[in-house]
Amino acid sequence: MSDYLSPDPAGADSRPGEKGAVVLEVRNLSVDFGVDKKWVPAAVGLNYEVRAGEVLAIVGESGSGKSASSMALLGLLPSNSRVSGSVRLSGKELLGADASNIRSVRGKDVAVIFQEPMTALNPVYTVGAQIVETVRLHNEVSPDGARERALRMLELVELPDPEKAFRSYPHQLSGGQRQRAMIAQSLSCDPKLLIADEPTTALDVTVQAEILDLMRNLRNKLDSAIVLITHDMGVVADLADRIAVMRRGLIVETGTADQIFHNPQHPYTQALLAAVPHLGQGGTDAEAEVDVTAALAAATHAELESVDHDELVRRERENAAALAAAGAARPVGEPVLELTDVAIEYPKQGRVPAFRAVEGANLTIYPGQVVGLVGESGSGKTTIGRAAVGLLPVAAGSMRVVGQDISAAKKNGKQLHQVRRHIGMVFQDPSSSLNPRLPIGESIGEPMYLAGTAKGADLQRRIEALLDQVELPRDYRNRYPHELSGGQKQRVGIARALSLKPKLMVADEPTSALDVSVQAKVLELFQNLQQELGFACLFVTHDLAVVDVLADHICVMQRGRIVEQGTRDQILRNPQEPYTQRLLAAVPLPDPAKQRERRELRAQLLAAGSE
Amino acid sequence: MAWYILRRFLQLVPVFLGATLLVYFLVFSLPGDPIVALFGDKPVNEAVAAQLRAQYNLDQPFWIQYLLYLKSIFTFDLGLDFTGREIATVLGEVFPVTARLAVMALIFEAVFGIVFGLIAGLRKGKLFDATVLVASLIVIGIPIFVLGFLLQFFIGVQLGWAKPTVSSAATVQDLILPAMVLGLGSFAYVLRLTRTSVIENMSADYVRTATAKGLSRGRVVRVHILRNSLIPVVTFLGADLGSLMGGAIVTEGIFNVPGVGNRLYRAVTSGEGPTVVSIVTVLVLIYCVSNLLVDLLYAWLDPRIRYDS
Amino acid sequence: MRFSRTSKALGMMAIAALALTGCGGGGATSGSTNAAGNSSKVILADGSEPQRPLMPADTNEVGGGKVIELMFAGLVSYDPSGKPVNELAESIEGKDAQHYTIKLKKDQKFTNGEAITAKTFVDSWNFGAAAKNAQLSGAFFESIKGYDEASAEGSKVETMSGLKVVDDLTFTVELKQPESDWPLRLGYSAFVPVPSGALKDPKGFGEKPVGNGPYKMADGGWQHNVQIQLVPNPEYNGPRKAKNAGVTFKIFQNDDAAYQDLLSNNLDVLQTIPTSALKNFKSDLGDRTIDKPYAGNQTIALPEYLPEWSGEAGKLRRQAISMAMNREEITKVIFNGARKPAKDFTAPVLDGYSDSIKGSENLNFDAAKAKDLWAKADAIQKWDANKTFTIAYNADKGGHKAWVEAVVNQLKNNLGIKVEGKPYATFKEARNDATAKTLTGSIRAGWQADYPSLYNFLGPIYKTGAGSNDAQYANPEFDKAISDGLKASSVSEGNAAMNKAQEILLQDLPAIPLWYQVSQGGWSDQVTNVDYAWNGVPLYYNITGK
Repeated sequence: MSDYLSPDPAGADSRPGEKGAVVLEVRNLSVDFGVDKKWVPAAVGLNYEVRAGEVLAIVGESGSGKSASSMALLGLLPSNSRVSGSVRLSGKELLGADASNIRSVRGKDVAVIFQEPMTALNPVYTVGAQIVETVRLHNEVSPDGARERALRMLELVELPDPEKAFRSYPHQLSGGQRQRAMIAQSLSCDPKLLIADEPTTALDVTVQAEILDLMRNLRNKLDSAIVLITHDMGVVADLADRIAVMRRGLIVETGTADQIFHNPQHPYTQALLAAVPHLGQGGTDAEAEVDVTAALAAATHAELESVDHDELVRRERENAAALAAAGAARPVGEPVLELTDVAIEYPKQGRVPAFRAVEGANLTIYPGQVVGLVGESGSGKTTIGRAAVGLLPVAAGSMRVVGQDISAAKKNGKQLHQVRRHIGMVFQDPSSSLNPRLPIGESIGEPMYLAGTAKGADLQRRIEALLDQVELPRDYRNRYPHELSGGQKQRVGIARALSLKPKLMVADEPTSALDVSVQAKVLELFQNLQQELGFACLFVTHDLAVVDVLADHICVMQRGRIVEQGTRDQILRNPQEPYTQRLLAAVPLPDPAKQRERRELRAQLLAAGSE
Repeated sequence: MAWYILRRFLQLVPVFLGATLLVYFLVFSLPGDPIVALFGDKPVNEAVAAQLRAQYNLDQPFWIQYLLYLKSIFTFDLGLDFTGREIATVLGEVFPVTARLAVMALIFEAVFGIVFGLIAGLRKGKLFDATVLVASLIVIGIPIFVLGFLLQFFIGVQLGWAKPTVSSAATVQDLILPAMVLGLGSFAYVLRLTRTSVIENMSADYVRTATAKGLSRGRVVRVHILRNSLIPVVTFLGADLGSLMGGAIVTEGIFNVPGVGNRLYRAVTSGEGPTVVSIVTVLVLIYCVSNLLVDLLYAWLDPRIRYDS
Repeated sequence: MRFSRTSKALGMMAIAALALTGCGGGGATSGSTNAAGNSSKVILADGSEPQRPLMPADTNEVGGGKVIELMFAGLVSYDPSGKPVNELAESIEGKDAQHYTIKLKKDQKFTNGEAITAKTFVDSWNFGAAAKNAQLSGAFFESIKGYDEASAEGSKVETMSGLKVVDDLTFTVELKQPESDWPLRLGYSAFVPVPSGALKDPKGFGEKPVGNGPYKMADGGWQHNVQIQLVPNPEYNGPRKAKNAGVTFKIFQNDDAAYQDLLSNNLDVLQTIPTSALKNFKSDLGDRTIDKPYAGNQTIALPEYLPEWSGEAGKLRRQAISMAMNREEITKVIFNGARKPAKDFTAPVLDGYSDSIKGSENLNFDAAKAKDLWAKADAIQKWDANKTFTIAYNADKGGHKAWVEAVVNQLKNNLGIKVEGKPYATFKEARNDATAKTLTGSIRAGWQADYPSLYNFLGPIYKTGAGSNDAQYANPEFDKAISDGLKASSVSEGNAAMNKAQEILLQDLPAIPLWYQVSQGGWSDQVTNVDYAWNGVPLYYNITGK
């Protein structure tokens, strides 16, 4: 790939203490929203400061007030809000300033990078035109001069063909390129302060890694202070100098990255860190922690500068030993799910040709096994998940589910009907997969009722038993979905999937929509249930760290093909395929030191790949 | 893109054939003999009637009549109407007038609809918005002939600001009042469409980006919101032109505009088959072409739309 | 002449239904009298697009008729009260009522210089009659000997044997049978002469007609569907000399638009006030209105070929229907007094009209007697109680719905039978059924005089086999009475005979006369001297500016 840059060998990403002057000073910032004629606080009494060249990460889960408070800095909140306190930008007070003053600050002194680059850029104007607009707004410059500057910014963000990007419309660029363009626009007037609101959340993990690289490089080159708002601890570990942890509108703890990661003081911070899944950590105590960096280094024969050579060799050897020790568990019994050379196609619609989403897939799941199916967007993992339940027809090859070949099964026919008795499915978005008009007890009981396995009092007893299993109070069964939180709803989804005692559970990104701490609990629950009930599971996700918690086997997909599969140990300790290696290298570790190592490794991988 | 345009033009051929056949059939199956009606209440002179029937091919079976008509079209001889005039000449007289009227109505509804809709959308919930919404409902609800009469009476007769009917030359100035009446119904629709579009786009992410860049509110509205909001509106306006052309009958009647609507109405009631078919065919073609233009316009305005992939 | 589109105002939606309005309005007001007005004004009048090319013998509706009347002068024309006045004719002499010698005035010319001779007349009339020329008004020549041969379908005969040119200024006419009122017809537009160019190229001529009347067409005067411009013909020296600088007929598709134009003085003369404005036009226009009866009436024709309407029972039922209708009430409420209840089968402006012909009591309102007669008819032949008596009308023009509904209600209430109005969507359709003799009930009918004579209201409609005999009435007694009248040696004798013939009709009632038409019009404050002729058309040549 041509857009990598070698990391600064002097480790400029950890310049202790050598920061510039204070650029942003926030004192006692409070934000309230008017809801139903009452003021509901979103942020209360925030105090922090950012210096030039420094990255301050504001971390929190949803509802913590991190976005609201940051939007308040520039007056970008909706009209039903009120802000109090003081925000000083290089000494100039921003809150309460009149409209034209604020406007001159926006874009020029303070720039924002938003989360969704597809919608954050105007779809009907070219990228170049939008950057030129920003430049000409704040600078007395001719159209040609502005164009020059725009092109230079596009080069700065490492777009492969700045001229082409200049002329392109947002929808003609890929997600990563769009975000780079967004960054180029924000930086075009040399802002003193950059606010990045979840800049990589909408991107694939490999693309995310690239953008983080970029942002780090830029930080080194430019002198801007950066406020990074995110919920992803891995991203924080990769980029932040200082961290402020927010919870329900309050800053509960601030400190340097090292302090927070290695010595968190506040119980919430501790809980938060504990809840974040580390790739390599494993889910159960029985599994040993995998040193992924070492594994990658071994697999690619890379030499790292940030790690002492001997140290590296030692780790690599440990890794190899553990790999050998981890015996391959013998699979027992009939495979619950068996894909042989399966191709799945989305049929032709009008003039849009048929699209092969999956090609030549071979996959086997034995009873009691948990297989994690990972891939980035467009890899085809969800497609396989759906096909396993019979929601998509198989275009080629054979698919056997709980012993029955459903490749040629008629959609919604009798055969599928019977097969589905043995499959349970947990969906990604618990809000939309539960019928909002049914109390959750009925949602849980519906499969049993329809299958005729239980009725009346027996049915009620089983519903109660399931609620116990997912650790929800029994009297919740008369509540409606909108009365439950996200995590609780997902528990209901799991209970419903379990109601027919399935042999195979297909979980399609079940925790992606949940907050970190909630995710941890749900995964824990899932793990316990799996061990207790012994169902086989096909766990589809894009988050390798999550898969690591649950899976015995890991299956990596890229663009419709299964690139590599094997046991957890095999994949993590000895990834063979370059894509797998890149994927593993791209996952950020929520540990600054380790993340530094990982970054270096990744850079080398990419360099090796491009030669 | 060229292929796409060519394809669309080729699609016009079956549309043309189908429309002419259908309309011809409908006129043909209207009860009553147009030749007999020419005699009024008087006794029908059979000899004369027979002659006239032969002259207009009305004594032939339906298919022969239709094929003769098609033949005449391809030789550009559209036949005669009952007054003995070339239908082609008649078309040449009435279409430009109605075209003027329709274009003026379009301009009126576009300018006022978009401006008012924009202001209403920007000030959602405030007095202007509420007033405009209610007023547009009333306008949509009142039938066009009532509006037409009212305006004609108050502006034309009482206040004398304009002549109640259009002069023989049907100049642009004469047509101002009729164009306003014709455009009123669609104006309300354009207004609401613009308003909804603006409200939707106001909360779009890129508007937040634009504000975050430091753009003044005016520029955000003009450059960012307006351009995106206009896409559905412009496509509606393009389609409306076709229907304005064909639907001006009531307005033309009220203001006595010598256009397509009047001529068509007369032709239908007196059973002049070829005239009706010729006029309707031209209207159908205009409608198809304006739809094609709208599609092209849409692709030009919204870079996300591409037809050829 | 009966008009195909009754654009004359008839009661429309008196939404007030039968609520009585006090809008008085009876009594005919006549036009403003002459003051020597401004003769340099061009009069803007309302018109409708002629249905055919402007060939006199091909025109049978009012749009083209108005123009032809002003552009051509025939042997005679009619003065405002309906009396014939010589135009081109020097004399018209009939030996008996069957052979006529016509002498023309000297040195008459068309506006293109062509001389008008006896041959011109004979050629024009032959052209109008011959079937191969397909002239709509050809039937007007039917009395002339030789007409049948010339007008037979597919005939190649181009001349009528009854017409003979004697010399440049004289020609003779032989009729098929004696007709004492034949000279009265000669003022009808079909009888005017046309230049030879018209006979060679009728279509081209029809676009740019050349005549000899008080007006000629301006250059490019006929803008189709827009207007027709006429300018005075300086060579015309007849009784209808133009007193203004021209007449421009603005063609309107919609009467209401014309009314609005009148109110704002954008139009000078509106021939017929539209039904929507009937209630208020007098207050809108003040004394610039006219309310004058003309030679037209409205009837309901009852086909004799329907079993329940034929024979003795049928006759009694017809009388019952006639007496069950309260004509006064309808003319007062629906028409605001703009109609007069009928007393006979003709019209009051005609010479010889009488309102007390024997049997005219059958046209009076008498509910009790009506019931009586109906019961008597039932005794002979039972009226099926489930049968609905329908009155057909065309819904597209003329606003007939209101009065038909009123009549329906009256009959329902007074006779206790099922009655319904039967609307036809277009005039065309209604006429179709009538001509094809496939009516299933009664149909509204009416007559507009082609020329001012009593016979014109009787012969063409009620003679056996007559062209407009919708009811298919066939009574040899009546036929004889009519032909006797035609044989009369003087006009007044003839009129007496016609009224005698009406006595028969008043008993048989093949059609039930309802009321006489009244024309109601108005003019702007820019003109004066507006008056209407016997046929309800304004005398345009007399109108002057203020």
